[in-house]
Amino acid sequence: MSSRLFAALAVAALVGCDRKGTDLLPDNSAFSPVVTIGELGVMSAEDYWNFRISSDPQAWCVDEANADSNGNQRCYYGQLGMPEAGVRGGASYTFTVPTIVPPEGVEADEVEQLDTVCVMMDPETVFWNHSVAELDRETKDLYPDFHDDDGDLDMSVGLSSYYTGSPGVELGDFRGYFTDSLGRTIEIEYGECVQRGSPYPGEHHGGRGHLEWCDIDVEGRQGVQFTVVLETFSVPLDDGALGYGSLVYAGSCSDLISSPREEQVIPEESMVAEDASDGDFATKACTKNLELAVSAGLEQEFCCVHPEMCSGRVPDDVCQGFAETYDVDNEDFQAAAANFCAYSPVVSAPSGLGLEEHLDLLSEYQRAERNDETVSMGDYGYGLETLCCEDYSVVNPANVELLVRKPVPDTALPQDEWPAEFLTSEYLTPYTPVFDFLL
Amino acid sequence: MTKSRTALLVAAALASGCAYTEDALEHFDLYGKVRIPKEAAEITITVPEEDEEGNVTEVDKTLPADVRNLGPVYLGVYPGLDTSLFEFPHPEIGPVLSEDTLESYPYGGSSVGRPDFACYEVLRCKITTGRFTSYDDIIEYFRDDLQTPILNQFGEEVTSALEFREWCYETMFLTSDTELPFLSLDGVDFEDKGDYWEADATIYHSYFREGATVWGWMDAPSRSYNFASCSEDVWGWAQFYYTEQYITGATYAGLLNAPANYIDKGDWISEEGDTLKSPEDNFEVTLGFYYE
Repeated sequence: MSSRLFAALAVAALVGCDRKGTDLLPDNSAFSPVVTIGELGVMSAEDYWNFRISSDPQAWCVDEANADSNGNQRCYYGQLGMPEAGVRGGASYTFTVPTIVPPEGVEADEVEQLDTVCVMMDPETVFWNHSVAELDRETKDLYPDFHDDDGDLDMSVGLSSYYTGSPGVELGDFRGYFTDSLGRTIEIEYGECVQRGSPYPGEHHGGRGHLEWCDIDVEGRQGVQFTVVLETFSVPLDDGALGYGSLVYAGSCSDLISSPREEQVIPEESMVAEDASDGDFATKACTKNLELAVSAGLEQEFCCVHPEMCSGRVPDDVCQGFAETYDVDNEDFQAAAANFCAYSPVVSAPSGLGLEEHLDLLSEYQRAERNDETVSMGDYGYGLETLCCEDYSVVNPANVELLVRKPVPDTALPQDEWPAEFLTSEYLTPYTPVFDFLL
Repeated sequence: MTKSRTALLVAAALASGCAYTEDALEHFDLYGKVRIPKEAAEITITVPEEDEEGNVTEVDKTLPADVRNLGPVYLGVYPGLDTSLFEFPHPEIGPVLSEDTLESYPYGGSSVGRPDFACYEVLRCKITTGRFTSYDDIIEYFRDDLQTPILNQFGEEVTSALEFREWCYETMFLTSDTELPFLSLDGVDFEDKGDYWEADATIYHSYFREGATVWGWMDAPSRSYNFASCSEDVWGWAQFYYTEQYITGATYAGLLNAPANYIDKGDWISEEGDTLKSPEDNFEVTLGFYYE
């Protein structure tokens, strides 16, 4: 009898081994779990600038007018489906180190060839750690991130000749084997994408929702093809499809990437399925504003104004500090939200502005600032929009165009007679413009 | 009947463990000796010299052969050597992907003496274990031979062993000289053997294959008395003691993986290494090649 009971228990226990947990994820089988993107062109600084200031970066990438001379896209946005349990999923693409062709009348050896390219990849959406401490709650980051819209991809890059995968069929890696003169076999990592972590050197990957990037030494490797592998680490739980963007930049990563503005490097990679049956997708509304808020360190404020964009599981007092900061007199939440939206502008470059022209304007603006002139980027033709989203806004931002960094009221006037557009210094302190460009 | 069969099967399974021998182990402790030519302990450094008018200039000074002049000796076990790679003998290397990926894939390794932090910031990467027997030995060597007296945190000269010891105990929370590896209380590593200095060496837990070669080099001090294998600012632990805040210095990682990155002119290198048939063979490595 006891042996029968034992057998029955063993069989019952084994049933658990058959559980994959995939039933918890939405079915998005229209999105392939293993994707080959093909060949991407390498972006110059000018290309990157145009991509970054375009109103629709995804459309910019697929626009044939922006392709390289071989017709290759210079950037890519896509969605990955969930791989089967036990199978590695992800995307891969190749790029070829371009040869800089000298202009007419210039000797080939007078032209400086590329010595570094930067490979970048951003999985959706954003992620931050929030505080769970009880002390100093008014100054801590209390608003939790919404985990279910976050995914994670791990990037590796190496010479295509060392890549072991079959593009679009099976994901591979860059591991090879070296046999020494005594016949000992040693596994070697041929991948060249070294992402330095802190405090320990060695191989690291960005966590969920975070940009990954690495410099690849391409000196003397003109015409050589590299493969980029984006391996799925986790798929968002909200829609079962992992949005991402990736590109290769002709220069060093440090030219573009500065902490904490990593989220702005490849914008709007968070996508939602429009039609799961044929794999169509569209940019998730307001995602760009969320990325900008994270870049500016304003995610707490942004979440208070747009709770739909962040986690719904929040402590009751999570926005108390927000109300105290943005409505100093009355600590009213609605008034604080209105102030935040009205005086937290996003500065964006006008469409068609060239990189050189932008750099000139920027240095002119910085010179004026150094001279203590009260100027805003708006004075130089840059657009000013609110950081808040219309679709999600709990308030209607009426005075979005206002950007007052330095109050210059006539000091002879009492404070209560200052023009309405000027805020008192108490109000001005927390307001920070967010720049929607990187170069 | 069923119970006895089960018991028999379990007993048989357990008994199979008795048949296991450790013959298949691939790692061994290797023992041997290192020899360094006497002339390797004769070094030339630059020292400040003041002329009659009070002007200070740097002049060369050659120190007579002394075991304290010997730098750390690094020993590695390798599949073989390749003399065609560099201007000096070097272990064979694996595939080279870029200039940063030099890799010899050593089987194991050790050292005879290593850079150790000797309590004062000015001594970072200057003291090798197994070379000095006392505090006075160090004070005298830096004052008389190197002509750069040890300075304390206030820039004042350290003149007594008592002061040296107290500072070590205070800043590193120690209670005994035996806790300070840079003091060789039982004598230095190397013995005078006529034409050579000789030291016992042990390489613990090294992978071994028949034909493996033990090879090494001595990182000789530069003219400014620095050691290329030691990093003052990156490696080591962080010393925080009131206003004293610095990294204590230590050897770079990867010395045995990429020796060529750390070998420079003036170093003494093993020309052929010692190829072993068995891990029981005692190795003898002579650092007879002077890289000049």
